[in-house]
Amino acid sequence: MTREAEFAEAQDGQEAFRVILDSMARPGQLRRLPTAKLAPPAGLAGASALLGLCLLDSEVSFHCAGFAPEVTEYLRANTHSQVAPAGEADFLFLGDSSHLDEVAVAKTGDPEYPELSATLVLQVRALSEEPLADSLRVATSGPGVDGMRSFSVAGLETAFLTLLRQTNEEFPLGLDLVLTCGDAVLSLPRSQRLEWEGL
Amino acid sequence: MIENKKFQSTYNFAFLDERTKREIRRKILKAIALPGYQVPYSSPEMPIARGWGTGGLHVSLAIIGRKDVFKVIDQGSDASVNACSLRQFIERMTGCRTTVDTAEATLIQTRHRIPEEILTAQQILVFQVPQPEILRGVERLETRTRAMHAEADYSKLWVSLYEAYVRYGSLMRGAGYPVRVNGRYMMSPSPIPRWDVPNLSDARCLYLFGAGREKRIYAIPPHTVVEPLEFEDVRFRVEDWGATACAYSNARDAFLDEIYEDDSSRKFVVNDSNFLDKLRTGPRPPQRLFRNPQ
Amino acid sequence: MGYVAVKGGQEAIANAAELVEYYRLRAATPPIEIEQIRTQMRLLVDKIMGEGSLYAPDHAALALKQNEGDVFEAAFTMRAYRATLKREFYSEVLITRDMLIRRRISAAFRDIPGGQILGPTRDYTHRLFQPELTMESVSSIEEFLQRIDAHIDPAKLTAIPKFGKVIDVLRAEGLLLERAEGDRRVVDVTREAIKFPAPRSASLQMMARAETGGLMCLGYSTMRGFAAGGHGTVGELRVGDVAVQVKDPRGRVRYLGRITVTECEMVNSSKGSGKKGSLPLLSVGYGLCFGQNETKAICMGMLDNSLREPNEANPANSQEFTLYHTEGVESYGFTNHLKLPHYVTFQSGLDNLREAMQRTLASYAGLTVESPAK
Repeated sequence: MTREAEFAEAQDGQEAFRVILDSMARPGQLRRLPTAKLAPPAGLAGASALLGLCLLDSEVSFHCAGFAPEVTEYLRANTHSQVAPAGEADFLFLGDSSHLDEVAVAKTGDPEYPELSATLVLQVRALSEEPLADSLRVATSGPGVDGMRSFSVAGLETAFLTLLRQTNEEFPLGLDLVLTCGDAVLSLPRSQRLEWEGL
Repeated sequence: MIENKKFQSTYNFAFLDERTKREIRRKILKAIALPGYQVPYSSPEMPIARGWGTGGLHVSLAIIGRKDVFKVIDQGSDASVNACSLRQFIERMTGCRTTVDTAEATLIQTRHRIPEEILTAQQILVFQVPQPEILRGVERLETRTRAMHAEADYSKLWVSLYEAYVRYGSLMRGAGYPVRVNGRYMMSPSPIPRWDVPNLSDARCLYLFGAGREKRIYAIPPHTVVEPLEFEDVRFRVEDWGATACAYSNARDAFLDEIYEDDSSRKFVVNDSNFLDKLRTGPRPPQRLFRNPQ
Repeated sequence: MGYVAVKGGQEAIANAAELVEYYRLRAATPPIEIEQIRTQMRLLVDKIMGEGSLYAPDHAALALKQNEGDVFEAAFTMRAYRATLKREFYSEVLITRDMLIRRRISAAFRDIPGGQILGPTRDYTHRLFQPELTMESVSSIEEFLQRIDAHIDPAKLTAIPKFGKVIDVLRAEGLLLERAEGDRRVVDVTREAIKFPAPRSASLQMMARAETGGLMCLGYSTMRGFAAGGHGTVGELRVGDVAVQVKDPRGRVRYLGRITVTECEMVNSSKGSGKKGSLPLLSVGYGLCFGQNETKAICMGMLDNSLREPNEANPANSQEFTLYHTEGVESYGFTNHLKLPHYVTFQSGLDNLREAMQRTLASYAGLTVESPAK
């Protein structure tokens, strides 16, 4: 388990955040995070790791599903963030899209404080703005998107998207999703209207 | 002679400690996911007074990096004394390059104006906000305004607009005109003039709002629908200077300042200082212009 | 305009800062030492520590010196500095029962266990000028200290006793309303924005940091009919030193040092538990602040009580009114921000007004409205 001694909070945290910020502000657009310095444990994508290092600390909690225990330990040790059950965690790191039970209990906020809701960080097998074979083609529209924006994703089950869409129908209550793949990141905040086809 | 080591501090990059930056960053992400909704945040004290831009500073300092080019304006002017003070603070705490050129800046902090020149997808505009709660004028209690936003119950606001119309023949809202964001939250755009309000909708850049004293952050993502409140038969209108042109550049179609000379004579001058510079020395920079309904 | 104007603004700020320094120094009087402020303006330092939310007497003294005694600026300077400090621990609860008492009184009973100890106070002095203080010298100070010393008989010195709380007497008789319900969460308003209705911990924390005059204004209002319930009685007022302890990462409790605090327990009639036939048992309104600041602690106690009875009609019965408007650094900043240029907002308003005037004039003349002439 690596302590990321090379990760300089002030510099690297800020650079990573600007990419994440741009990603959340422009849903559906692929962005790459500067993950070269990191050595996350097997199974954890560089982008997921960097997102964790950038945003987690002892004031928030996280939950991992679909990962080896080393991943939880890596995030906990490097950020001092607290581990929490899926229904309480501020950040859910998902190794794949089969974990519908966790998504079903994740916190979606309060009508008066809708921001008290979880952010899902979901790892997928492939992510591309260009069409890909054997992938889902997802179209998103809403704040941050000029008209409609499409991307291709592999390793994202439609049941996951269906559950997400259903959950976010309760807007402003909802869940915010960040897709990661290697060093790539693509955000879908709850404000988005999603459509998909393929597979 | 007292050795004064104990009062000295070396400051973290961008002054704020990393923990505070992280908290603000998390809140900014949620604000983007909830366009127009006010996210509470810790808002620690700053060496600048409350009401003088601490919220704008919090947002700028939480996101600024060494490669950013920073611009700060107050009432449209880079030269305003408080803008100078904030610029000095950011320079001292980040070592970033600063500029007065709107097109060159990557991060712009503003008090009560949107620059006339179109902002691009590479730029972020951070607003200083004195009162983030658009409903505060019609409901003084936070417990009630929270509930109103939760229920999307904006009836009191509509009634106040209607009453102003009945009394004065117009909606009588000047700066800080109420807008509806993404068809859901009513929002205060900060006390920008009506002239700037149409620029909030379907923008290319990201808008972030920091209210330090009231401890709220909110956001308008690019390409978001932002509608000023109006009635079907009483429409939103921007300020109108008629045939008056800028005394220095002869330009029209920009927000004008009313200036009184020593002899009490009056003239109008383009408010946006960098825009005026550019008008006087070169081609007119690209703008988004709104035409009042007939 | 452009770069020249920007430079102009910067020069103006630099000159203004230098000019105000000049006002501080132009009489060329001997420089005031930090130690002099800390020791001879003790009560002012205590006020600034409380409102600055930072127990640091030398820093408070420096803040007062650099701001020429402006108490709002001094508290602000303290808060701005506090915000830069790394925060490692929350302390253990202060055990004020173990306070090294300097002063301890009760208005509720004539005599109390341990006795009424007047301690250091000007409450019973006559507010007449002491002109001899204009001639104070190092030797006159030494003489005074020697006289005090002479009073002390070392043979009679004992350990400072601990004093039980006056409210213990009331509790033993079953007269105190024990509040089991209510929001008992402990929050830190400096780490998260206050939300309403606020738990008592947030309310007390905000009041401990509040501007003394603001609290005094609202506390006074409860005594003059502007609050439900009236003002109560000083059950006990204590001034003294308490130990500050923290738990280290291994869970051991460690002693950090002592601070001086003022604590007040205001006793008031409650409305009872709300159930039929319940008695108006006594409720305790609590006040605690840094240093010796009795006005603040007493008013905190009164307001802790009055805030328990929400009533929008009365400022002291409104959490939002009391807590927002006694926050000194925020109110100081915002009231003074009116000095910033507001000409754009003003212009927008003028535009509205002029259009309205045009419409009115036109309607008198029976004309239809055209585009406004300027």
